[in-house]
Amino acid sequence: MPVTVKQHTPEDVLVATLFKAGVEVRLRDDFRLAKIFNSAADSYGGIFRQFRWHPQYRVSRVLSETLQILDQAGVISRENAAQMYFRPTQHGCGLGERRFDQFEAADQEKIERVASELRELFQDGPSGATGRELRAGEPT
Amino acid sequence: MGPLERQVESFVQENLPDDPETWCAGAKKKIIHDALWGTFPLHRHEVALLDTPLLQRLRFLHQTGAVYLTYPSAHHTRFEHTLGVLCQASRLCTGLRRNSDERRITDALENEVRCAALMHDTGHGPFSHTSEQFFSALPELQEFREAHSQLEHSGGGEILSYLITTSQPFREFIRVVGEQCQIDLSPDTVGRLITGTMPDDQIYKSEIVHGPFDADKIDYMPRDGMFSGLRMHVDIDRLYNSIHIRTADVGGGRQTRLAGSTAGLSPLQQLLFNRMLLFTGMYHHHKVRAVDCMLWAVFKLAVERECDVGGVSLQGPADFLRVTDDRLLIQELATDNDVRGIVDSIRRRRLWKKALVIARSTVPEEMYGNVKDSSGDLLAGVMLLAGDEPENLRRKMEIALQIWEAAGKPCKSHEVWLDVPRLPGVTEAKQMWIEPSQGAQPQTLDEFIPISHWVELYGIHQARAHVFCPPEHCRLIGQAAEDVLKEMFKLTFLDQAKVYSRN
Repeated sequence: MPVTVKQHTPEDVLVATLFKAGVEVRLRDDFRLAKIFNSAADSYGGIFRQFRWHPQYRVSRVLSETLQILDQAGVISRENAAQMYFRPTQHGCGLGERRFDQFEAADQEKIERVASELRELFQDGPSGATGRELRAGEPT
Repeated sequence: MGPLERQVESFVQENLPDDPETWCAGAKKKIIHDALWGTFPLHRHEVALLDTPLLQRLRFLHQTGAVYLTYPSAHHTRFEHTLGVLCQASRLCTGLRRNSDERRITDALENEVRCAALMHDTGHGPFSHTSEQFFSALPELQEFREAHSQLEHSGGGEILSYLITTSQPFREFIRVVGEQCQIDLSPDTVGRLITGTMPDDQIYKSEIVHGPFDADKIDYMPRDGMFSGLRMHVDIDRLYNSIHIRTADVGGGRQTRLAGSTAGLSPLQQLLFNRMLLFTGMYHHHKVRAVDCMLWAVFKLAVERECDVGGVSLQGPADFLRVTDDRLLIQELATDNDVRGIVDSIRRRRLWKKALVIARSTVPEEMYGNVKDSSGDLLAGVMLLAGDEPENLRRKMEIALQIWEAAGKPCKSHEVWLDVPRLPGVTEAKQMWIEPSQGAQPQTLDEFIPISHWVELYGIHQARAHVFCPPEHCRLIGQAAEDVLKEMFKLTFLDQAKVYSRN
């Protein structure tokens, strides 16, 4: 018997979003990633609300810690120790697809929009962003 | 005023003296001798505050919860820790003044910072973080957090500390103490220092007691290590010599924060590494987790059955302030037989044991590695329950109930728990400013220390989830847990999963 879902956890939301972003995109746990999720928290609230960052430090504890959990669970794989890139694994995508199907249509649409933003921002991988851009928003 | 504020106010009223003037007249300055930090002074107004029942109750809250059942000497309390934070907050102020001839660290600010140190843990309940995790999920606190966006990043205990500090009875007490001792303390400022909600140009003030590397962490890490016997070293003096106040632009806004320097990276690295060691050796020790599950069972039964624990009915978050560790463990003060049974087991150290160990080392590699068939959640099905949101807690309880039923209900349902601990947090390193060289643009600490990778390795090699139950039922519950998790997530196990459980 499967475990019932009464509310969606940050793990559910992130797994489903990464599934929609796809395995081709190399993501990075940095300011840009946090910004997309913070914007989603502001724009959509609801399932993305918990990803809002700390207004002063501009770090989302929930996003960073959920990524660590996904990493431990084998749902994402980190690929370069020095640079922090990661992407969902095949298994993570299968799991993400099942979690995605559990969301209501309106939430699925929001997840797809955020995933699309992730694809757009990270599609060029490391060469698509300079070190300065990676730290954009940090002290200048 | 909402219901939570009213409950907290009533608690504060009961725990402050009726006649503050007389109370304060009897207070004299004191010298404290601490096993960790040595000797330091307390001002008269601080003694008046420290002597109130509001602060004295911290003597009966163990700093590390029930860790003393695993590490026998870990009996240090929130009271000593509170004094230690005060001491280190003051020393950090001294360091800041010395490092850059800093005039912003005034005596008035230091007094407020010291007061915040005294008050920062007053919102803790029995067994500290064990009860905090439970009452943080109660609806009253969730609703309060949603209605007060400035506190949405604060933990449950921190919110209660804030409400205590800004309550009307506390304001009145501080006003009288201030008049008597000729000192000006603002409860609103102290509350903002505790919760880290100072304006952008004054973030450095709250970072002394509530920041990436604050006096709280500087005290609890060495203190927990010292009193558990897992001694660890941190070059505190070197740290204080390298921290200063820095203003920089952040995404269009200007902030003033504390900043470290590359010369002071070594003690910051020590603090982060020591924290990983504390997780390995203490916070995630299977015996420590087993007692935590027993205590959660007590809290859950108390709320569900509306029975008394420690002589108190635990219906809302503020009720947890009325119970201390010693009272919770008095069987006669519990009105439910099942609660009394668990309390008795904790007192006699008849702790629950591992029926099943769920980790990368106890499952085949195809459960988490290069998986061909991804139709099951596999190991991720369990590991994704690590978050402590109410829904994750509910799902873990639901799975435990299914395990209990599959085992043929050999014990009480509340005696089977699925425990999936959180990994150590990494956000401090993303928050702390480091100035690469004098005058250069600050970067964040995670660019210098690979803490994310440490946590990643910790997750792979050290993190374990457990199914706990009373020792006499481990074999039955362990087998049932295997069956349920296989059906639910297609998760299979190696022999170690149960072999480890017999140790």
